[in-house]
Amino acid sequence: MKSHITALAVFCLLAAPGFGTDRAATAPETALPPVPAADKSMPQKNLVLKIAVNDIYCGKTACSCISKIATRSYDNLLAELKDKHQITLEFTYFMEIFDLQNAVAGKTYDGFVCKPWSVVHLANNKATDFKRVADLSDPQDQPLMSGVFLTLAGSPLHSLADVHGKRIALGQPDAYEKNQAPLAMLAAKGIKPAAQLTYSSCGENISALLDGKVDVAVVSSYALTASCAVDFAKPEQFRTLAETAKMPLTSFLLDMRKVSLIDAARLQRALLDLSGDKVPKDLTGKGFVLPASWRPLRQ
Amino acid sequence: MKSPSPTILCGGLIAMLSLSSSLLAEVPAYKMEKSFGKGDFKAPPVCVSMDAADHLYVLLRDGTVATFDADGKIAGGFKPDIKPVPETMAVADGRIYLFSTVQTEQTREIQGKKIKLMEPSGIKCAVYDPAGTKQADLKLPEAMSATDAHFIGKELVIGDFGKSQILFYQLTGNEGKVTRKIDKVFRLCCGIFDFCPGPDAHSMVVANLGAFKVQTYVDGKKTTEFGARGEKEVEFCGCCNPVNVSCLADGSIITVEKSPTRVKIYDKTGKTEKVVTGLDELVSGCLKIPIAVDSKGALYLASSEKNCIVKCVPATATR
Repeated sequence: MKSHITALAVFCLLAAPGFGTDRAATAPETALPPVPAADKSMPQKNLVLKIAVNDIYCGKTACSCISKIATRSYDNLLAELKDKHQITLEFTYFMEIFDLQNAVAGKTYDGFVCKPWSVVHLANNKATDFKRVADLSDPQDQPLMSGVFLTLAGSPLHSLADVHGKRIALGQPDAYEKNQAPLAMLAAKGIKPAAQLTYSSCGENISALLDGKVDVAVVSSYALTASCAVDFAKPEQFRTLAETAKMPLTSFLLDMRKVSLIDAARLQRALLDLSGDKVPKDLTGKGFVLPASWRPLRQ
Repeated sequence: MKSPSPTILCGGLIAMLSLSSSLLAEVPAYKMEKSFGKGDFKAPPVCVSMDAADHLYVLLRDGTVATFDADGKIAGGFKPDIKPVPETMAVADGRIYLFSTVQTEQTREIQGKKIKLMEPSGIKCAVYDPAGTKQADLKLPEAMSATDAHFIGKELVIGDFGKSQILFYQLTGNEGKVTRKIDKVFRLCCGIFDFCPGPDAHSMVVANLGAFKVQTYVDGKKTTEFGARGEKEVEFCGCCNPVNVSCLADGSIITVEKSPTRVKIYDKTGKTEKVVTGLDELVSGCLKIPIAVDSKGALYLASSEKNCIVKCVPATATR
C-alpha cells in the first residue's frame, strides 16, 4: 500500500503543468495513472499479452556497434512475470523501428516497448488508444530523454537564439525529440532558421553537421553514447546550444482497445514490483518506474 | 506518413514524385542459385573477389582461400600460413593479396571502468599465386586496419575502418607508398567499410553506411552521392546501411543492405532501377554481406552467418 501511495505522489508531481509539454495544443495524457490493486486474496488467471519491442538498450534490437552498452535482456523479467505474477508476455523483437510501426497498423500486438512517440503518433485515427503503463530507465537509471541542439565545437553559435537565420537538421515527424519538440521551442521564441533539412536518423543529422551542410543538428540526447554515431562522432566535437523539454525514453505501452484497464493496472503493478531492488540484473539499471506525465503536442 | 529525406521541406513533394516513379512495374530480374558452393565452405565466407576470367575467389574466416571456375565448380584453394588470419582480399593479374589487421592490447575507459581491449594497430599483406605459393610480403604504412581492398587503375586501395580513411598505394617492388588518401568524410559503423572500383578508370564507389549514403569518388574527390535513411524502397533502412556495394559493367551501382537483406540496383544518379527479389535473409544484425559481380552481371552474395554464397543470375543471362 505504501508503495502505491508513493507511486501516486510521484505521478502527481510529474503530472504538474508544464512537465514535458510545450505551449502549443497537446494531445491527451499518455500515462496510465496507478490504479490500486483489487482484493489480493482473489486467485488471478494467467494474463497473456503479445508485445512488440524496439529498445535502444536491448541486445536483440540495438546495433552491434553499441553492444558494450546495449546489453539489456528481458529473459529473466519475462520468467519472473510468469512465475510471480501469472503474466505471460510474448515478445517479438524488431531491430527496425519502421517494421515495428508497421506492426502497429497490423493491430496484432497488445502492446509495445519502445520510444512512446514511435507508436503514439500513429494513434490519431482513433482505432488505437495507447497508454504508457511504465517507463523504463536507461542503464544510468534515467527514464527520460530530450532533443539536443548541437553545433560544432568551433562554431560561432553559442545559444539557441543564434539558430535564427541558420541551417538546421531536424528529424522526421515520427521522431518527437528531433521534430515537434525542437520546432515548438524555436516557434515559442520566434527563432526562424533559414533552412530546415529533415533526416531519419541521428547519424544523418550529425553527418550533415560535420559535412557543413547545416549549422545546427538536433539529435536524441543518447545519440553520442548509444547510437551508431558513437563510431564516428565524439562528444568533444560538438557544443550543445539547447535542450528540449524532457520526454519518456522507453515506455511499456498497451493498446487500451485490446487490454482492459484492470489488466493494464495489473501489468503496471507487476512491472514496478520487479524493479528497483528486485529488478532482474540483465534488465540493467533499476528497471521500470511509474510513467511520467507526457502529453505530446498534437500533430 | 514520412517525407523523402533529406529534403528541404519546400522541395519535398517534387523529390517524392521523382523517386516514386522509378519504382513502378518492376519484375523479378534475377534467378537465385542457392546451391552455389554447397558443401565447399568449411568456415564462413568473409570476402569475395572476381578476376577477369570470372573466377570467384572466396576468403573464409579461417584464412582459407577457395577458388571457383566460371561454371561455379571448385577449382582450387589453399590455406596460407600467415598470422593474424587475413580478413580481406584483392585479386589482380593472377595474384591474390591477403590482408591482415595486427591487433595490440590497449586500455580504454568505458562507463568509468578501465577495460583492456585488443585494437587494430597496423596491417600485413601477403601475396600468393592461385596455387597457394607465397610470392611476397608487402609493406603498407599508415593503415591501422585493412577492412576492404581493391586495385583501381594501377593503385592498391585500402579501406581502413580504424582511421575511417581510404588509402591509395603506389607499389614499387614490395613497398607501398601512400600517394593520397580520403579521410574525415566517412561515417562508418559496426566495423564495416566497403567500396568498389567505379565505372570509370579512376573512380570508386563507397558505402558510407553511417550516413546512409553511396558516394562516388574520382581521383579521390567526391563527385556524386545519393541515399537517405527511410522506409521507402529507394531509401536505406536499418541502423546503418548499405553495408556493401558493387558496380555492373554499365556503371549501375548495386547496394546490399543487412537486416533486412535487400539488394537494389541504382543508376549513377541514385534512381532505383531494379530490386533483386526472392532473397532470403542472409544475416541477422550488423554483418556485412560481401558481393562480387561476374562479366555476365551475375551477383555473388556471401553470408557469413549461413555459411553460403547465393548467386543471383540476371534473367536475360538465363534465357
